[in-house]
Amino acid sequence: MNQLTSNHTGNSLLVFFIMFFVLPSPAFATGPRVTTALFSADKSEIHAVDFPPFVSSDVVDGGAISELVNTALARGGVDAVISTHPIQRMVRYYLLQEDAMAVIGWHFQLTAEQKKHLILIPITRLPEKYFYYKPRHPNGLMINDVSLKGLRYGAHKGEDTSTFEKAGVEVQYGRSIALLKKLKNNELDFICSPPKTVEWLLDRYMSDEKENFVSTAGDAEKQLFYIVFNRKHADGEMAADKFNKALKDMVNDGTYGKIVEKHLGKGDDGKLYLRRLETFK
Amino acid sequence: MRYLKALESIGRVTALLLLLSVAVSNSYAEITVQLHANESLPFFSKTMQLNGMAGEIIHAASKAAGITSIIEFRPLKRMIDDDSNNDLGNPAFYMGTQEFSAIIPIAVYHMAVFHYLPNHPRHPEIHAVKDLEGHKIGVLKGTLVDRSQFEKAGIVFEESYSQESLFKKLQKGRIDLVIEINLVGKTMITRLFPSDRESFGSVLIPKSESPIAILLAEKQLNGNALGVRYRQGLQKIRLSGEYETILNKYYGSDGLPEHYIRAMERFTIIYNDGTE
Repeated sequence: MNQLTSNHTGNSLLVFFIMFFVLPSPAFATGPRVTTALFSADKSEIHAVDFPPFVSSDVVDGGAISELVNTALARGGVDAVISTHPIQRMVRYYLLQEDAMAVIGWHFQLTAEQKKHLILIPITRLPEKYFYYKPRHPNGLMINDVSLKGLRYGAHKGEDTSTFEKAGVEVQYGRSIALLKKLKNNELDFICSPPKTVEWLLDRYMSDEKENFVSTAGDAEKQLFYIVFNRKHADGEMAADKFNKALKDMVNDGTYGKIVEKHLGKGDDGKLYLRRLETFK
Repeated sequence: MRYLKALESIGRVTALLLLLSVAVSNSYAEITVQLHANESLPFFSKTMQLNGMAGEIIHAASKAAGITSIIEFRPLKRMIDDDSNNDLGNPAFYMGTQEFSAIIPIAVYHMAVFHYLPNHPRHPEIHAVKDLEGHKIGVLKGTLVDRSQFEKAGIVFEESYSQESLFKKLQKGRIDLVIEINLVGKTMITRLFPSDRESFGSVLIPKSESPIAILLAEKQLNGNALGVRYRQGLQKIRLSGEYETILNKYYGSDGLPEHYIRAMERFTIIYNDGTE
Protein backbone atom coordinates (compact mmCIF):
# COMPACT_ATOMS: atom_id res chain seq x y z
CA MET A 1 0.00 0.00 0.00
CA ASN A 2 1.57 3.27 -1.06
CA GLN A 3 0.43 6.59 0.27
CA LEU A 4 0.75 9.32 -2.26
CA THR A 5 2.66 11.53 0.11
CA SER A 6 5.20 8.82 0.82
CA ASN A 7 6.22 8.72 -2.82
CA HIS A 8 9.97 9.21 -2.86
CA THR A 9 9.89 11.85 -5.54
CA GLY A 10 6.57 13.30 -4.51
CA ASN A 11 7.82 16.29 -2.56
CA SER A 12 10.27 17.53 -5.14
CA LEU A 13 7.71 17.09 -7.88
CA LEU A 14 5.08 18.87 -5.84
CA VAL A 15 7.37 21.88 -5.48
CA PHE A 16 8.17 21.70 -9.18
CA PHE A 17 4.56 21.62 -10.23
CA ILE A 18 3.46 24.31 -7.80
CA MET A 19 6.21 26.56 -9.16
CA PHE A 20 4.99 26.16 -12.69
CA PHE A 21 1.27 25.69 -12.42
CA VAL A 22 -0.80 28.33 -14.02
CA LEU A 23 -4.16 28.23 -12.33
CA PRO A 24 -6.50 30.47 -14.25
CA SER A 25 -9.79 31.22 -12.58
CA PRO A 26 -12.22 32.28 -15.27
CA ALA A 27 -14.23 35.37 -14.50
CA PHE A 28 -17.27 34.64 -16.65
CA ALA A 29 -19.05 31.42 -17.55
CA THR A 30 -19.13 32.61 -21.15
CA GLY A 31 -15.68 34.15 -21.01
CA PRO A 32 -12.92 33.92 -23.58
CA ARG A 33 -10.19 31.30 -23.33
CA VAL A 34 -7.11 32.95 -24.74
CA THR A 35 -4.95 30.13 -26.09
CA THR A 36 -2.16 29.98 -28.67
CA ALA A 37 -4.39 27.67 -30.73
CA LEU A 38 -6.78 30.61 -31.09
CA PHE A 39 -4.24 32.42 -33.25
CA SER A 40 -3.33 29.44 -35.39
CA ALA A 41 -6.31 29.23 -37.73
CA ASP A 42 -4.06 28.50 -40.69
CA LYS A 43 -2.34 25.58 -38.96
CA SER A 44 -3.58 22.02 -38.77
CA GLU A 45 -5.02 21.10 -35.38
CA ILE A 46 -4.01 18.17 -33.22
CA HIS A 47 -6.77 17.46 -30.74
CA ALA A 48 -6.11 16.09 -27.26
CA VAL A 49 -8.06 15.38 -24.11
CA ASP A 50 -7.02 17.44 -21.13
CA PHE A 51 -4.97 14.97 -19.10
CA PRO A 52 -2.84 16.67 -16.46
CA PRO A 53 0.02 16.76 -15.86
CA PHE A 54 0.88 15.15 -19.22
CA VAL A 55 -1.36 17.16 -21.55
CA SER A 56 -2.92 20.29 -20.11
CA SER A 57 -3.02 23.99 -20.75
CA ASP A 58 -2.77 24.38 -16.96
CA VAL A 59 0.81 23.05 -16.92
CA VAL A 60 3.93 24.82 -18.16
CA ASP A 61 4.50 24.16 -21.88
CA GLY A 62 1.31 22.09 -21.90
CA GLY A 63 2.82 19.22 -19.90
CA ALA A 64 5.43 16.57 -20.75
CA ILE A 65 3.57 14.88 -23.61
CA SER A 66 2.51 18.18 -25.19
CA GLU A 67 6.09 19.39 -25.14
CA LEU A 68 7.35 16.12 -26.62
CA VAL A 69 4.77 16.37 -29.41
CA ASN A 70 5.36 20.08 -30.06
CA THR A 71 9.12 19.56 -30.21
CA ALA A 72 8.81 16.62 -32.61
CA LEU A 73 6.38 18.59 -34.79
CA ALA A 74 8.73 21.57 -34.93
CA ARG A 75 11.74 19.36 -35.74
CA GLY A 76 9.82 17.53 -38.42
CA GLY A 77 8.60 20.76 -39.95
CA VAL A 78 4.95 19.91 -39.33
CA ASP A 79 2.94 23.12 -38.94
CA ALA A 80 0.33 22.11 -36.39
CA VAL A 81 -0.98 23.21 -33.02
CA ILE A 82 -2.42 21.22 -30.10
CA SER A 83 -5.96 22.02 -28.94
CA THR A 84 -7.07 20.47 -25.66
CA HIS A 85 -10.65 19.46 -24.94
CA PRO A 86 -12.43 18.40 -21.76
CA ILE A 87 -13.89 15.13 -23.05
CA GLN A 88 -12.74 12.15 -25.09
CA ARG A 89 -15.73 12.13 -27.42
CA MET A 90 -14.79 15.60 -28.72
CA VAL A 91 -11.38 14.26 -29.73
CA ARG A 92 -12.95 11.21 -31.39
CA TYR A 93 -15.42 13.51 -33.18
CA TYR A 94 -12.66 15.67 -34.66
CA LEU A 95 -10.66 12.59 -35.70
CA LEU A 96 -13.45 10.49 -37.16
CA GLN A 97 -16.06 13.04 -38.26
CA GLU A 98 -14.00 16.07 -39.30
CA ASP A 99 -10.85 14.18 -40.39
CA ALA A 100 -8.49 16.20 -38.20
CA MET A 101 -4.82 15.69 -39.00
CA ALA A 102 -4.08 13.99 -35.68
CA VAL A 103 -5.20 13.42 -32.09
CA ILE A 104 -3.32 12.58 -28.90
CA GLY A 105 -4.61 10.29 -26.18
CA TRP A 106 -5.32 6.77 -24.98
CA HIS A 107 -8.25 4.37 -24.62
CA PHE A 108 -9.43 5.26 -28.13
CA GLN A 109 -11.25 1.94 -28.72
CA LEU A 110 -10.84 2.19 -32.48
CA THR A 111 -12.36 -0.45 -34.71
CA ALA A 112 -10.29 -2.38 -37.26
CA GLU A 113 -12.07 -0.46 -40.02
CA GLN A 114 -11.22 2.89 -38.41
CA LYS A 115 -7.60 1.85 -37.90
CA LYS A 116 -7.19 1.31 -41.65
CA HIS A 117 -7.26 5.08 -42.08
CA LEU A 118 -5.10 5.87 -39.07
CA ILE A 119 -1.41 5.75 -38.14
CA LEU A 120 -0.82 5.12 -34.44
CA ILE A 121 2.54 6.25 -33.05
CA PRO A 122 3.21 5.55 -29.35
CA ILE A 123 4.68 8.50 -27.47
CA THR A 124 5.08 6.99 -24.03
CA ARG A 125 3.86 4.19 -21.83
CA LEU A 126 2.01 5.38 -18.77
CA PRO A 127 2.37 3.26 -15.65
CA GLU A 128 -0.88 3.01 -13.67
CA LYS A 129 -1.86 2.00 -10.18
CA TYR A 130 -5.11 1.14 -8.43
CA PHE A 131 -6.26 3.79 -5.97
CA TYR A 132 -8.84 3.66 -3.21
CA TYR A 133 -10.02 5.93 -0.40
CA LYS A 134 -8.51 4.68 2.83
CA PRO A 135 -11.28 5.84 5.24
CA ARG A 136 -13.72 3.63 3.27
CA HIS A 137 -11.32 0.68 3.27
CA PRO A 138 -9.23 1.08 6.44
CA ASN A 139 -7.90 -2.49 6.17
CA GLY A 140 -6.72 -1.95 2.63
CA LEU A 141 -8.06 -3.25 -0.64
CA MET A 142 -6.91 -6.34 -2.50
CA ILE A 143 -7.38 -6.19 -6.24
CA ASN A 144 -7.56 -9.79 -7.39
CA ASP A 145 -10.19 -11.97 -9.02
CA VAL A 146 -11.38 -13.45 -5.73
CA SER A 147 -11.88 -10.20 -3.87
CA LEU A 148 -13.55 -8.12 -6.56
CA LYS A 149 -17.17 -9.31 -6.54
CA GLY A 150 -19.53 -6.58 -5.38
CA LEU A 151 -16.99 -3.80 -5.65
CA ARG A 152 -17.51 -0.68 -7.76
CA TYR A 153 -14.83 0.33 -10.26
CA GLY A 154 -14.42 3.81 -11.77
CA ALA A 155 -13.19 3.62 -15.36
CA HIS A 156 -12.12 6.15 -17.93
CA LYS A 157 -14.23 6.12 -21.07
CA GLY A 158 -12.80 3.66 -23.57
CA GLU A 159 -11.05 1.55 -20.93
CA ASP A 160 -11.29 -2.22 -21.34
CA THR A 161 -13.30 -3.25 -18.28
CA SER A 162 -14.32 -6.73 -19.41
CA THR A 163 -12.16 -8.50 -16.81
CA PHE A 164 -13.76 -6.56 -13.99
CA GLU A 165 -17.26 -7.07 -15.34
CA LYS A 166 -16.68 -10.83 -15.55
CA ALA A 167 -15.50 -10.76 -11.93
CA GLY A 168 -18.81 -9.20 -10.82
CA VAL A 169 -17.60 -5.63 -10.48
CA GLU A 170 -20.00 -2.74 -11.12
CA VAL A 171 -18.33 -0.34 -13.57
CA GLN A 172 -19.03 3.40 -13.71
CA TYR A 173 -17.40 5.80 -16.15
CA GLY A 174 -16.12 9.31 -15.66
CA ARG A 175 -13.18 11.67 -15.85
CA SER A 176 -10.32 11.36 -13.37
CA ILE A 177 -11.33 14.13 -10.96
CA ALA A 178 -14.94 12.96 -10.89
CA LEU A 179 -13.77 9.41 -10.17
CA LEU A 180 -11.63 10.63 -7.27
CA LYS A 181 -14.59 12.51 -5.83
CA LYS A 182 -16.72 9.38 -6.15
CA LEU A 183 -14.11 7.39 -4.26
CA LYS A 184 -14.33 9.89 -1.44
CA ASN A 185 -18.16 9.89 -1.50
CA ASN A 186 -18.28 6.09 -1.31
CA GLU A 187 -19.83 5.83 -4.75
CA LEU A 188 -16.81 3.84 -5.98
CA ASP A 189 -14.33 1.45 -4.38
CA PHE A 190 -11.33 1.72 -6.68
CA ILE A 191 -10.00 3.33 -9.81
CA CYS A 192 -6.96 2.88 -12.04
CA SER A 193 -4.88 5.90 -12.99
CA PRO A 194 -1.32 7.12 -13.55
CA PRO A 195 -0.06 8.15 -10.08
CA LYS A 196 1.13 11.49 -11.45
CA THR A 197 -2.39 12.36 -12.58
CA VAL A 198 -3.87 11.47 -9.19
CA GLU A 199 -1.17 13.48 -7.42
CA TRP A 200 -1.73 16.52 -9.66
CA LEU A 201 -5.52 16.47 -9.27
CA LEU A 202 -5.40 15.98 -5.51
CA ASP A 203 -2.90 18.83 -5.16
CA ARG A 204 -5.16 21.10 -7.11
CA TYR A 205 -8.62 20.12 -5.96
CA MET A 206 -8.41 18.11 -2.73
CA SER A 207 -5.01 18.83 -1.16
CA ASP A 208 -6.34 18.35 2.38
CA GLU A 209 -7.47 14.83 1.44
CA LYS A 210 -4.22 13.69 -0.16
CA GLU A 211 -3.27 11.34 2.69
CA ASN A 212 -6.54 9.45 2.28
CA PHE A 213 -6.04 8.36 -1.33
CA VAL A 214 -3.73 5.37 -1.41
CA SER A 215 -2.59 2.98 -4.07
CA THR A 216 -2.23 -0.78 -3.96
CA ALA A 217 1.23 -2.29 -4.25
CA GLY A 218 2.77 -2.71 -7.69
CA ASP A 219 1.78 -1.38 -11.07
CA ALA A 220 -1.73 -2.08 -12.29
CA GLU A 221 -1.77 -1.39 -15.99
CA LYS A 222 0.62 0.06 -18.50
CA GLN A 223 -1.16 2.03 -21.17
CA LEU A 224 0.37 3.34 -24.35
CA PHE A 225 -0.27 6.98 -25.01
CA TYR A 226 -0.46 7.65 -28.73
CA ILE A 227 -0.47 10.31 -31.34
CA VAL A 228 -2.85 9.13 -34.05
CA PHE A 229 -2.42 10.59 -37.53
CA ASN A 230 -5.28 10.53 -40.01
CA ARG A 231 -4.72 9.25 -43.55
CA LYS A 232 -7.94 11.01 -44.57
CA HIS A 233 -6.28 14.38 -43.89
CA ALA A 234 -4.33 15.67 -46.90
CA ASP A 235 -1.10 15.98 -44.89
CA GLY A 236 -1.76 13.19 -42.38
CA GLU A 237 0.51 10.48 -43.78
CA MET A 238 3.41 12.81 -44.57
CA ALA A 239 3.13 14.45 -41.13
CA ALA A 240 3.18 11.01 -39.47
CA ASP A 241 6.44 10.09 -41.24
CA LYS A 242 8.09 13.38 -40.29
CA PHE A 243 6.86 13.15 -36.71
CA ASN A 244 7.98 9.56 -36.28
CA LYS A 245 11.49 10.31 -37.54
CA ALA A 246 11.77 13.42 -35.35
CA LEU A 247 10.59 11.52 -32.26
CA LYS A 248 13.17 8.77 -32.81
CA ASP A 249 15.90 11.38 -33.26
CA MET A 250 14.78 13.03 -30.00
CA VAL A 251 15.14 9.72 -28.17
CA ASN A 252 18.59 9.11 -29.64
CA ASP A 253 20.03 12.58 -29.04
CA GLY A 254 18.68 12.87 -25.50
CA THR A 255 16.07 15.59 -26.15
CA TYR A 256 13.26 13.24 -25.19
CA GLY A 257 14.96 12.48 -21.88
CA LYS A 258 15.56 16.15 -21.11
CA ILE A 259 11.89 17.00 -21.65
CA VAL A 260 10.73 14.10 -19.48
CA GLU A 261 13.24 15.11 -16.82
CA LYS A 262 12.08 18.73 -16.94
CA HIS A 263 8.50 17.71 -16.20
CA LEU A 264 8.92 14.60 -14.07
CA GLY A 265 12.25 15.14 -12.39
CA LYS A 266 15.55 13.27 -12.34
CA GLY A 267 14.25 10.64 -9.92
CA ASP A 268 12.75 7.26 -10.60
CA ASP A 269 9.59 8.75 -12.09
CA GLY A 270 11.43 10.35 -14.96
CA LYS A 271 13.53 7.24 -15.53
CA LEU A 272 10.39 5.11 -15.54
CA TYR A 273 9.00 6.89 -18.58
CA LEU A 274 12.31 6.69 -20.40
CA ARG A 275 12.65 3.01 -19.64
CA ARG A 276 9.18 2.33 -20.94
CA LEU A 277 9.90 4.06 -24.20
CA GLU A 278 12.76 1.68 -24.94
CA THR A 279 10.28 -1.16 -25.17
CA PHE A 280 8.58 0.23 -28.25
CA LYS A 281 11.38 2.17 -29.95
CA MET B 1 -71.29 -15.48 -16.31
CA ARG B 2 -69.33 -15.01 -19.54
CA TYR B 3 -70.73 -11.49 -19.67
CA LEU B 4 -69.42 -10.80 -16.15
CA LYS B 5 -65.97 -12.20 -17.02
CA ALA B 6 -65.86 -10.03 -20.13
CA LEU B 7 -66.75 -6.97 -18.04
CA GLU B 8 -64.02 -7.89 -15.55
CA SER B 9 -61.46 -8.13 -18.40
CA ILE B 10 -62.57 -4.80 -19.85
CA GLY B 11 -62.24 -3.29 -16.37
CA ARG B 12 -58.70 -4.60 -16.02
CA VAL B 13 -57.68 -3.30 -19.44
CA THR B 14 -59.28 0.10 -18.70
CA ALA B 15 -57.45 0.32 -15.37
CA LEU B 16 -54.19 -0.54 -17.10
CA LEU B 17 -54.80 2.09 -19.79
CA LEU B 18 -55.63 4.66 -17.10
CA LEU B 19 -52.41 3.87 -15.26
CA LEU B 20 -50.42 4.17 -18.51
CA SER B 21 -52.05 7.49 -19.40
CA VAL B 22 -51.18 8.87 -15.94
CA ALA B 23 -47.58 7.74 -16.39
CA VAL B 24 -47.36 9.31 -19.87
CA SER B 25 -48.97 12.57 -18.75
CA ASN B 26 -46.61 12.72 -15.76
CA SER B 27 -43.61 12.28 -18.03
CA TYR B 28 -44.71 15.32 -20.01
CA ALA B 29 -45.99 17.28 -17.03
CA GLU B 30 -44.79 20.81 -16.39
CA ILE B 31 -41.56 20.59 -14.48
CA THR B 32 -39.49 23.26 -12.77
CA VAL B 33 -35.71 23.22 -13.16
CA GLN B 34 -33.27 25.43 -11.33
CA LEU B 35 -30.25 26.55 -13.36
CA HIS B 36 -27.29 28.61 -12.19
CA ALA B 37 -25.77 31.36 -14.30
CA ASN B 38 -23.04 33.90 -13.89
CA GLU B 39 -23.63 37.58 -14.73
CA SER B 40 -22.15 37.90 -18.24
CA LEU B 41 -23.72 40.57 -20.42
CA PRO B 42 -25.37 40.21 -22.89
CA PHE B 43 -25.68 36.42 -22.63
CA PHE B 44 -26.84 36.12 -19.03
CA SER B 45 -27.94 39.00 -16.83
CA LYS B 46 -30.16 39.41 -13.83
CA THR B 47 -31.10 42.92 -14.96
CA MET B 48 -31.91 42.26 -18.61
CA GLN B 49 -35.33 41.31 -19.84
CA LEU B 50 -35.66 37.51 -19.78
CA ASN B 51 -32.09 37.27 -18.47
CA GLY B 52 -30.22 38.24 -21.67
CA MET B 53 -29.72 36.47 -25.01
CA ALA B 54 -29.01 32.96 -23.72
CA GLY B 55 -31.61 33.48 -20.97
CA GLU B 56 -34.25 34.31 -23.60
CA ILE B 57 -33.36 31.19 -25.58
CA ILE B 58 -33.61 29.04 -22.46
CA HIS B 59 -36.99 30.48 -21.45
CA ALA B 60 -38.38 30.10 -25.00
CA ALA B 61 -37.09 26.52 -25.39
CA SER B 62 -38.36 25.67 -21.91
CA LYS B 63 -41.81 26.99 -22.68
CA ALA B 64 -41.89 24.95 -25.89
CA ALA B 65 -40.88 21.87 -23.89
CA GLY B 66 -43.27 22.39 -20.98
CA ILE B 67 -40.45 23.20 -18.57
CA THR B 68 -40.21 26.15 -16.21
CA SER B 69 -36.56 27.13 -16.00
CA ILE B 70 -35.55 29.32 -13.10
CA ILE B 71 -32.21 31.05 -13.62
CA GLU B 72 -30.38 32.01 -10.44
CA PHE B 73 -27.25 34.14 -10.56
CA ARG B 74 -24.11 33.18 -8.67
CA PRO B 75 -20.40 34.04 -8.73
CA LEU B 76 -18.61 31.75 -11.21
CA LYS B 77 -16.25 30.30 -8.62
CA ARG B 78 -19.22 29.09 -6.55
CA MET B 79 -20.73 27.51 -9.65
CA ILE B 80 -17.51 25.70 -10.49
CA ASP B 81 -16.97 24.56 -6.89
CA ASP B 82 -20.53 23.21 -6.61
CA ASP B 83 -20.56 19.64 -7.99
CA SER B 84 -24.29 19.08 -7.67
CA ASN B 85 -25.88 22.03 -9.45
CA ASN B 86 -27.12 22.65 -13.00
CA ASP B 87 -24.81 25.12 -14.74
CA LEU B 88 -25.16 27.50 -17.66
CA GLY B 89 -22.25 28.64 -19.82
CA ASN B 90 -19.28 27.20 -21.68
CA PRO B 91 -19.00 23.49 -20.74
CA ALA B 92 -15.19 23.76 -20.77
CA PHE B 93 -15.33 25.78 -17.54
CA TYR B 94 -17.24 23.10 -15.63
CA MET B 95 -16.37 19.75 -17.14
CA GLY B 96 -12.96 19.57 -15.54
CA THR B 97 -14.48 18.97 -12.13
CA GLN B 98 -18.12 17.94 -12.56
CA GLU B 99 -19.96 15.13 -14.33
CA PHE B 100 -23.23 15.94 -16.10
CA SER B 101 -26.18 13.82 -17.17
CA ALA B 102 -26.93 16.01 -20.20
CA ILE B 103 -25.32 18.94 -21.96
CA ILE B 104 -27.51 20.94 -24.33
CA PRO B 105 -25.74 23.58 -26.45
CA ILE B 106 -28.13 26.51 -26.94
CA ALA B 107 -25.95 29.18 -28.54
CA VAL B 108 -22.49 29.95 -29.86
CA TYR B 109 -20.17 32.84 -29.10
CA HIS B 110 -17.10 34.10 -30.92
CA MET B 111 -14.04 36.01 -29.89
CA ALA B 112 -12.80 39.22 -31.46
CA VAL B 113 -9.82 41.56 -31.40
CA PHE B 114 -10.95 45.11 -30.63
CA HIS B 115 -9.07 48.30 -31.44
CA TYR B 116 -9.71 52.04 -31.15
CA LEU B 117 -9.70 53.63 -34.59
CA PRO B 118 -8.26 57.07 -33.64
CA ASN B 119 -5.20 55.26 -32.25
CA HIS B 120 -5.10 52.31 -34.66
CA PRO B 121 -7.03 53.14 -37.82
CA ARG B 122 -6.21 49.86 -39.59
CA HIS B 123 -7.87 46.59 -38.67
CA PRO B 124 -5.29 44.39 -36.94
CA GLU B 125 -4.14 41.46 -39.09
CA ILE B 126 -3.84 38.67 -36.53
CA HIS B 127 -3.40 35.29 -38.17
CA ALA B 128 -0.66 33.81 -36.01
CA VAL B 129 0.74 34.22 -32.51
CA LYS B 130 3.71 36.17 -33.91
CA ASP B 131 1.28 38.79 -35.27
CA LEU B 132 0.53 39.77 -31.66
CA GLU B 133 4.18 40.77 -31.16
CA GLY B 134 4.80 44.44 -30.58
CA HIS B 135 1.24 45.12 -29.44
CA LYS B 136 0.07 45.90 -25.94
CA ILE B 137 -2.81 43.46 -25.59
CA GLY B 138 -5.46 43.59 -22.91
CA VAL B 139 -7.31 40.53 -21.64
CA LEU B 140 -9.61 39.88 -18.73
CA LYS B 141 -7.89 38.43 -15.68
CA GLY B 142 -8.32 34.65 -15.60
CA THR B 143 -8.90 34.17 -19.32
CA LEU B 144 -5.29 33.58 -20.36
CA VAL B 145 -4.93 29.81 -20.67
CA ASP B 146 -1.48 28.75 -21.91
CA ARG B 147 0.46 31.71 -20.56
CA SER B 148 3.84 29.97 -20.76
CA GLN B 149 3.45 29.37 -24.52
CA PHE B 150 2.68 33.05 -25.11
CA GLU B 151 5.61 34.12 -22.94
CA LYS B 152 7.88 31.80 -24.91
CA ALA B 153 6.73 33.62 -28.05
CA GLY B 154 7.48 36.97 -26.40
CA ILE B 155 3.84 38.01 -26.09
CA VAL B 156 2.98 39.88 -22.92
CA PHE B 157 -0.57 40.64 -21.91
CA GLU B 158 -1.99 43.38 -19.74
CA GLU B 159 -4.61 41.76 -17.54
CA SER B 160 -7.53 43.70 -16.07
CA TYR B 161 -10.07 42.70 -13.48
CA SER B 162 -13.02 44.17 -15.36
CA GLN B 163 -14.16 44.62 -18.93
CA GLU B 164 -14.88 48.30 -18.20
CA SER B 165 -11.24 48.81 -17.30
CA LEU B 166 -10.06 47.01 -20.47
CA PHE B 167 -12.07 49.15 -22.85
CA LYS B 168 -11.28 52.40 -21.01
CA LYS B 169 -7.56 51.58 -21.34
CA LEU B 170 -8.12 50.86 -25.03
CA GLN B 171 -9.79 54.22 -25.59
CA LYS B 172 -7.05 56.07 -23.70
CA GLY B 173 -4.36 54.36 -25.76
CA ARG B 174 -2.81 52.57 -22.81
CA ILE B 175 -3.28 49.29 -24.68
CA ASP B 176 -3.44 48.65 -28.43
CA LEU B 177 -5.81 45.70 -28.63
CA VAL B 178 -8.36 43.91 -26.48
CA ILE B 179 -9.24 40.23 -26.89
CA GLU B 180 -12.82 39.71 -25.78
CA ILE B 181 -16.03 37.93 -26.73
CA ASN B 182 -17.47 39.67 -29.76
CA LEU B 183 -20.91 40.47 -28.33
CA VAL B 184 -19.57 41.20 -24.84
CA GLY B 185 -17.09 43.75 -26.22
CA LYS B 186 -19.72 45.46 -28.35
CA THR B 187 -22.18 45.62 -25.45
CA MET B 188 -19.50 47.07 -23.20
CA ILE B 189 -18.45 49.69 -25.75
CA THR B 190 -22.08 50.78 -26.28
CA ARG B 191 -22.59 51.13 -22.52
CA LEU B 192 -19.33 52.96 -21.81
CA PHE B 193 -19.03 55.14 -24.90
CA PRO B 194 -22.52 55.58 -26.42
CA SER B 195 -21.51 58.62 -28.45
CA ASP B 196 -18.10 57.25 -29.48
CA ARG B 197 -18.92 53.61 -30.20
CA GLU B 198 -18.32 54.05 -33.95
CA SER B 199 -14.67 54.77 -33.12
CA PHE B 200 -14.10 51.16 -32.08
CA GLY B 201 -13.30 48.49 -34.61
CA SER B 202 -13.22 44.73 -34.22
CA VAL B 203 -12.13 41.66 -36.16
CA LEU B 204 -13.59 38.23 -35.46
CA ILE B 205 -10.98 35.59 -34.66
CA PRO B 206 -11.49 32.66 -37.07
CA LYS B 207 -12.41 29.30 -35.51
CA SER B 208 -12.93 30.97 -32.13
CA GLU B 209 -16.46 29.71 -31.59
CA SER B 210 -17.43 28.21 -28.22
CA PRO B 211 -20.76 26.82 -27.04
CA ILE B 212 -23.10 28.20 -24.41
CA ALA B 213 -24.94 25.25 -22.93
CA ILE B 214 -27.38 24.03 -20.32
CA LEU B 215 -25.44 21.53 -18.20
CA LEU B 216 -27.68 19.23 -16.15
CA ALA B 217 -25.98 17.76 -13.10
CA GLU B 218 -25.32 14.03 -12.95
CA LYS B 219 -27.66 13.87 -9.95
CA GLN B 220 -30.42 15.98 -11.51
CA LEU B 221 -33.60 13.90 -11.24
CA ASN B 222 -34.36 12.37 -14.66
CA GLY B 223 -31.46 14.35 -16.13
CA ASN B 224 -31.28 12.40 -19.39
CA ALA B 225 -35.03 12.67 -20.04
CA LEU B 226 -34.95 16.34 -19.14
CA GLY B 227 -32.09 16.84 -21.59
CA VAL B 228 -34.20 15.27 -24.34
CA ARG B 229 -37.06 17.67 -23.53
CA TYR B 230 -34.78 20.71 -23.60
CA ARG B 231 -33.39 19.59 -26.98
CA GLN B 232 -36.92 19.11 -28.31
CA GLY B 233 -37.91 22.57 -27.06
CA LEU B 234 -34.83 24.09 -28.68
CA GLN B 235 -35.61 22.34 -31.95
CA LYS B 236 -39.19 23.68 -31.85
CA ILE B 237 -38.09 27.31 -31.45
CA ARG B 238 -35.43 26.89 -34.15
CA LEU B 239 -38.07 25.61 -36.58
CA SER B 240 -40.59 28.30 -35.64
CA GLY B 241 -38.08 31.11 -36.20
CA GLU B 242 -38.25 32.28 -32.59
CA TYR B 243 -34.60 31.29 -32.03
CA GLU B 244 -33.40 33.37 -34.98
CA THR B 245 -35.52 36.34 -33.84
CA ILE B 246 -33.82 36.28 -30.45
CA LEU B 247 -30.33 36.11 -32.01
CA ASN B 248 -31.09 38.95 -34.44
CA LYS B 249 -32.21 41.13 -31.55
CA TYR B 250 -28.75 40.90 -30.02
CA TYR B 251 -26.54 40.72 -33.11
CA GLY B 252 -28.46 43.60 -34.74
CA SER B 253 -27.25 45.02 -38.03
CA ASP B 254 -23.91 43.15 -37.83
CA GLY B 255 -25.79 39.93 -38.45
CA LEU B 256 -24.82 36.49 -37.24
CA PRO B 257 -21.13 35.61 -37.45
CA GLU B 258 -20.26 33.41 -40.44
CA HIS B 259 -20.62 29.69 -39.72
CA TYR B 260 -22.74 30.33 -36.59
CA ILE B 261 -25.30 27.68 -37.53
CA ARG B 262 -22.61 25.18 -38.58
CA ALA B 263 -20.84 25.65 -35.26
CA MET B 264 -24.13 25.20 -33.42
CA GLU B 265 -24.76 21.94 -35.32
CA ARG B 266 -21.25 20.70 -34.50
CA PHE B 267 -21.61 21.37 -30.78
CA THR B 268 -25.04 19.74 -30.80
CA ILE B 269 -23.54 16.55 -32.32
CA ILE B 270 -20.58 16.54 -29.94
CA TYR B 271 -22.69 16.83 -26.81
CA ASN B 272 -25.88 15.09 -27.98
CA ASP B 273 -25.16 11.53 -26.87
CA GLY B 274 -24.12 12.28 -23.33
CA THR B 275 -21.08 13.82 -21.79
CA GLU B 276 -18.39 11.32 -22.80
